[in-house]
Amino acid sequence: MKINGMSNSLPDETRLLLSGYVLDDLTSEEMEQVERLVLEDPAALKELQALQASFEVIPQGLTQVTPPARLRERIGSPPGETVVRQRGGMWRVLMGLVAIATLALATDNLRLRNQLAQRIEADRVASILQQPNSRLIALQGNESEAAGTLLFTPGNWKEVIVSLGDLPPLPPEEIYRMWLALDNGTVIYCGEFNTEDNGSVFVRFTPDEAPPKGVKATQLLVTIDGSQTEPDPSRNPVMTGAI
Amino acid sequence: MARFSKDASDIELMGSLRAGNQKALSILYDRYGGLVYTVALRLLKQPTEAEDLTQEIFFNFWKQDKYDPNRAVLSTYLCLVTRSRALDRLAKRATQQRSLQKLQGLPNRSITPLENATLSEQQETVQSALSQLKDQQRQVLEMNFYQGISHADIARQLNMPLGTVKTRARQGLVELRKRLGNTIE
Repeated sequence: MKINGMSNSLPDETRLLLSGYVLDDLTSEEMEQVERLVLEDPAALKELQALQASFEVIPQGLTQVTPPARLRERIGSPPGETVVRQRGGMWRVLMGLVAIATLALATDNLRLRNQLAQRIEADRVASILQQPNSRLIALQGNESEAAGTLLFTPGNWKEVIVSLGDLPPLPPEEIYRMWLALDNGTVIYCGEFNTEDNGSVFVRFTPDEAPPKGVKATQLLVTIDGSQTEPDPSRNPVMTGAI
Repeated sequence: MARFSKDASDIELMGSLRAGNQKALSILYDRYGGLVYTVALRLLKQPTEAEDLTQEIFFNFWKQDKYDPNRAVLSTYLCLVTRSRALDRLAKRATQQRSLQKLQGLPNRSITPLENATLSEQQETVQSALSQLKDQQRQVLEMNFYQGISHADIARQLNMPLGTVKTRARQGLVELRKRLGNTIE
């Protein structure tokens, strides 16, 4: 939205005092001083309210995280409702088992499995490319030479193919994660990956979640996250691509 | 029972909710659930706790009916209630809570043009304004907002003189307000 300058021209010292009032770090004498000032001077009151409003909109600066789909089922139920939670708990146990199995596989003959995966994905690439409306999105490193492409079919976010190069390999405790930003301000988690030793990666994602109907995807983001932590979309992207 | 569409205004949906149509709550959740969950997650850090709090916020919004649309737009109200409840949960009901109550003695501020914009416009504007602050100012201001702790505690955490923390926080808020310009008046 269009931003014009402030219509208020109070001295900086007064402005800082008003700011201290909103942040509640004034002495009781200073607080009384501010309260007298704003009751006598409409410009000071207006500025105090603008500072208060600025403080209150700070959460709008967060990159929105999409809540898990199961949460919607709980809305309207009294707090402490546990039926869905138990289901979620079981799901987490299953995911944990899958993660353990994946970890076990990961230690086994990595190169051979990568070659196999690439062959499978080459078939999937061909299959997506055959779709008449398939699209390639360019991704570019924000502070590195990293570059790559993402292939998908608009309207079908169930399968995307990503090919990237020149990404710095990460230590074991970190991992790359990919996100899809939507025009309603939310972000969808797509999946995670690590690079080969040479910094390249070729991976197929099957995201659990697709953009809601009528909501457009605007940007792809790649972040570096802790490999053992929950995906955190608030991290600064290291690669981006406009859709 | 009141009829409404998904494009209904927040006020219309609240009217419908008060008339007993619980589907209106689902539409309000679709509109603001992400925002509430994001704020809850930022404060509480734990996804399961953020889910619990989001559920509680929407349930109380429905049952307690304390929201006054003349005082704040729904997005701002839900963010502030979420922050307040999250700080309660963190047992850090600190000075920031009092600051919001204290202002209730002064005339209500009006709803700003920024708050009347769409959520995505609000986010774009605030993200851009915050990104223009000096890192040190933004850090202290965000600690103030999301941890609800006193400047003395922030000074201890950052191993910094208290005076420096106070100055950075005040300057950060003044800068944020300047960057938001007339959208926040």
